Amino acid sequence: MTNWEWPLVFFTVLSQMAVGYLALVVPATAGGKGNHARIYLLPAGLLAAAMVISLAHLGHPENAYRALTHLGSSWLSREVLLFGLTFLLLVFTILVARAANQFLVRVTAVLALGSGLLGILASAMIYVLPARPAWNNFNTVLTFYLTAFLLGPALGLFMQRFSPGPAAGVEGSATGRALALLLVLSIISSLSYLSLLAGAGPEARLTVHALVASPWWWLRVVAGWLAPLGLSYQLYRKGHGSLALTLALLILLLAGELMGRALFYGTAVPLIEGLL
Amino acid sequence: MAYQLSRRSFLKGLAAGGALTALTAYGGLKMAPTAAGVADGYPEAAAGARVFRNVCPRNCYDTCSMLSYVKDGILRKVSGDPANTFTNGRLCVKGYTYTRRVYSPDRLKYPMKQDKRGSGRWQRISWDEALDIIARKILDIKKQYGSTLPVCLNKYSGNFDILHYGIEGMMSSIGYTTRALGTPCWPAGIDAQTYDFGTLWNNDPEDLVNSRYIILWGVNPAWTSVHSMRFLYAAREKGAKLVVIDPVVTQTASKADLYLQIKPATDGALALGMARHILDNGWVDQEYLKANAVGWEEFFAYLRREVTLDWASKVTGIPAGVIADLAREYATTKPAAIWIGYGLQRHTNGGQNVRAIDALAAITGNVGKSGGGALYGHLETWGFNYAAMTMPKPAGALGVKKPDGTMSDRFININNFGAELLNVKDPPVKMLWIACRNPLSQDPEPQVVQKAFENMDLVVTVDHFLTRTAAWSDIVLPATTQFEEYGVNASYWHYWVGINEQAIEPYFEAKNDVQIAMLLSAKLNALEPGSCTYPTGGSLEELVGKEFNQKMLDLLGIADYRELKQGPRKAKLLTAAWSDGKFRTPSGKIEIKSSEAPKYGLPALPVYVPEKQAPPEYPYRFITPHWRHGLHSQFQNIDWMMNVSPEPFVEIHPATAAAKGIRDGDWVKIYNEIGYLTLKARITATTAPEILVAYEAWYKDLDYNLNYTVKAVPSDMGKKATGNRGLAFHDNFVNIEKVR
Amino acid sequence: MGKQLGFLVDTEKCIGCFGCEMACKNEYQAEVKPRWRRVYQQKEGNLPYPERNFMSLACNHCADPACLKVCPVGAYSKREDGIVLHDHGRCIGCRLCTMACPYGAPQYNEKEGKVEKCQLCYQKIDRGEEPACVAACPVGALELIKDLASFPGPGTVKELPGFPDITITRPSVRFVPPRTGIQIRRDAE
Repeated sequence: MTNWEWPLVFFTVLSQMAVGYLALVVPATAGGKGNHARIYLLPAGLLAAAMVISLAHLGHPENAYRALTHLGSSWLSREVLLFGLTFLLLVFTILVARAANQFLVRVTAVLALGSGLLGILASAMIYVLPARPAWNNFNTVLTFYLTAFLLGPALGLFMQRFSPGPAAGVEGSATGRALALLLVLSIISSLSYLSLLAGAGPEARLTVHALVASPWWWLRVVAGWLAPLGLSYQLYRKGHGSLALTLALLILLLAGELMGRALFYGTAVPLIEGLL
Repeated sequence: MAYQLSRRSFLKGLAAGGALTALTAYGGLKMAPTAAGVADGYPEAAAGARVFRNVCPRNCYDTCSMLSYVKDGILRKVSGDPANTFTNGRLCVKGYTYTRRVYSPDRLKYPMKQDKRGSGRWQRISWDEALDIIARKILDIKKQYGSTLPVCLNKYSGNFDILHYGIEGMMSSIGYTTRALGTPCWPAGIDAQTYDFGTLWNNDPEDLVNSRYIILWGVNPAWTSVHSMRFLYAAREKGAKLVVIDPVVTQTASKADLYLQIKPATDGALALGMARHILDNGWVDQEYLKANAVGWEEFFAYLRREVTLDWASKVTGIPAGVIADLAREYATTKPAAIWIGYGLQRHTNGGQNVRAIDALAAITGNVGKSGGGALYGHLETWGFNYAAMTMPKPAGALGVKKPDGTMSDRFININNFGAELLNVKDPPVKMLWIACRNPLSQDPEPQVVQKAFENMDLVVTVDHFLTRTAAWSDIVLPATTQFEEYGVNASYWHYWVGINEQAIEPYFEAKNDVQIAMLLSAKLNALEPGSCTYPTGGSLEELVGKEFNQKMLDLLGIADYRELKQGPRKAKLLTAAWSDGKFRTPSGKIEIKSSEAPKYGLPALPVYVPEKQAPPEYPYRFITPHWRHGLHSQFQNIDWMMNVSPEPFVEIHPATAAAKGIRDGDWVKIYNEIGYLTLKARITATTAPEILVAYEAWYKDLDYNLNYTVKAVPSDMGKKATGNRGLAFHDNFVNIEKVR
Repeated sequence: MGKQLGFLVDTEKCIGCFGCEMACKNEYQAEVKPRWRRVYQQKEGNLPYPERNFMSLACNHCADPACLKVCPVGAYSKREDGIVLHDHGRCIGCRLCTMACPYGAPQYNEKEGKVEKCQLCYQKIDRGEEPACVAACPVGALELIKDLASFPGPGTVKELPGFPDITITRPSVRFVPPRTGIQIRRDAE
């Protein structure tokens, strides 16, 4: 219960936010307008930051390149490959966008998105381990994608208010509705997840106990789910939010997802616990 | 690779220490170049090492024959010596930590002087300075009091190597001194067996395989003699039944075919109840008794008069039918062995209970039989010369005058050390020398011992670590481990004797007790010629040679002690103790009615002496047995051991825990009128509702000492053979409450 | 694929003395924290009587090792004799194997920044010797199974209460279950 794995928390949440953002802006910019180079700088930077942070998790980051060498069966190898590829495609997109090759931009951006989405799957599959009953279910995949699709639009919304322009497709009312629905899905899926664990083996039950006993989990419920839900609904009703509102929404969601992820790592009771 | 890296940095540390040592002109560690690297994989620590023979000397049944693996002057690993068929090439959990003990960062490296006792302000001093302080104090004392009687030695079992009796020799060599006499461990049982058989002498434990029925009575070999378990299992595989009688479900009890949870200290009643049932059913071995015993008629009269199964059941808490079955099985399944544990005799009636069990073995004819016996321990392989110990007094030495006009040392009771130190007068004790012992941890009432320290001008402790006692001394001297010295060891259980070779150079400035005696002798004689008779030269190995006499050589079947370098030897004793029928009692027979016991104010017959009862305000009996991960205050402090056994706990029965509102993991306070301790609760039905169990140990950084609650209550016997009665460690009563 | 080596853990004989665990440390002079072999005490509630029963576990050198599968650098390999080897030189300390192993066999060494685990004393095996833990057991409660496939093991079982699901990795370990003696207890009334 002491291992919160902060580098992994930031790596997964930030990389998922980057891909979620891509998922928002790639279709929105399909029309081919705006300064693409600027749009793709943000997810590329986020992804790069995420990957650099992930190195902090390694005992020997200097040999991190070796992580690419076991693609045959290691989801971690595949994750590194896919996120690495996503990053390279984004860099390429930025380069061709400067050269104003709209077709190539579109192709590489879509490829980057595809690679990023697969990367999230690879990330999630790393943790679908029978040795950790709390992780060994569909919820892991679902929560990783939910993180992406909550944080991506929230980031997009904020960027739109902060610096209006390129991603004009981000519309307040629709985004607010989408976020609210996703949050409801997130809450419902979490509740069903908890009841699933409660009905499973002793280690899974230990995870439930640890979660509901943790003040961080309750903070996550309030700050990461309930408060953003209220803000999203407000956004949906108003049609557009202020800079402060979009910033608050982004910060709350980000904080909630980070706490949720830390709990994900920190409360996964291994099977061997049954012997202790 | 991992271990190579850490090993290298470790060696660097040692090398730096070695450089310091070289500067001090006291010799010490000879440093070797760092080990060759291994590219990857998991290198074996002892690859390419030279092998030496050692013996683990720490007061244990098993006294393991060891091999040590040395490369570049560094002890790389240890193992059991397969030449010893009892220990069978295996060590125990404690033995396997030895490399970490030898190279523990906590180990004492140099002599040190403390600013004020207990202040923790230690200052490194040279051996010369340390010995100068000590020698001058001894000479001052002699001048002031006219004798060296104010110098007191407290040495016991931290190292049972024969050469370490050189400490006693050192004391003798300066004059008559005050000695802590006795043994805390097993004296009541020793006397019991001395009254019954003439001395203690167990069958070869390897002979247990020939038993068809084995009662492990108040003994927990699964923790305290792991190598014996193999023979018990072998006997079981051949059809023997294993019965454990113990107040708590010990590790050994967990492996038994039948476990009887007896009320503590009532073992005599069980033995007598069984004897009565055996008598009533005609299972007595009359022929054996007629040929080998005296006093059995009176014993039987006592049984018929005073003992019934129902009475035994009431006293012991074991159903009468179970006692009857046990008696029948024991008396009719031959040969049947009883192993009498040391825990069983740590009671105010402990020796008497052992005598009742001895009688049980005698009347069934199980004594002197292969596969039988009333096994307690033996000293048959300890017939050394004790040359290092036997020293003449310097001319003009004065001591305690005996009625016959000769002089002797002054003896105080090791089992009430603190109080006796405070009480002893004319002259008082002013200087303490403590070696192979940790009284502030292991003595009952350590508070009193600490108080007695206040009267001392000088307290010197020789040890490996800054123990509780060392921390309360004025001077600490670093001792060598067995790997750094020569020696020879015997066991009080198995029949093997082994030589201990020096495998590595002493750690930093550590020295062997005999070397310390030699240096002190040189210093004393330099200050006052003729003040000390201890020799100042000779190698430790030569001294080992001097410990052997023809009888010992014959017993081991060797012509020269050096043959032991080829491996330990098993003494050529009778496999079944007493099978020659030559008992060493005054009558030459088993004295079921003892001629000697009444001389010590004890009953002649093994009648039942009632057990000590709990006072109402302290209703829980606090049993404090040996710990799996330590031997008294040794081993638990080693880092590898702390990793698998990080903290002490008290075992509480679920019913008691429920009554007191205590949950597993809660902190509880255990207390009585003399002290208390606070520790974690472990709820387990392996104990009984009125019994709390915690294990004696020294955790380096914890204020854990269960002896704070243990009173110096004497057991009933011990005076005859060991000089003082033992300790009723397990007649200790406390109360308990939840702290948080 | 050759024969699969394995461990036989006789919990009937095992006295929980921790000798095997410490002998392992002694053999490799390992760091303090990682426990390549670890002695687990069986929960009292899993037993017919309150007793002290133990299970000594190390790497189970599984037929289907999770560590090998998830390792991103391919530091794990399985020898012909079934030993799952960890290449310490190759390890980058990502710790994924420590999460994936149901038995907690690979453990992270903070000092080295790498994972390490029981290698079944492969050097000793290659010389025809017993693993250090097996050679150290004073009561013969640990044995090396030379060929798991043809291991008859009458009276042995593949799992005991508390032992993680064996279908995950098919561990190469067999147990002799504890046997229960008779206890005459004073708290029974």
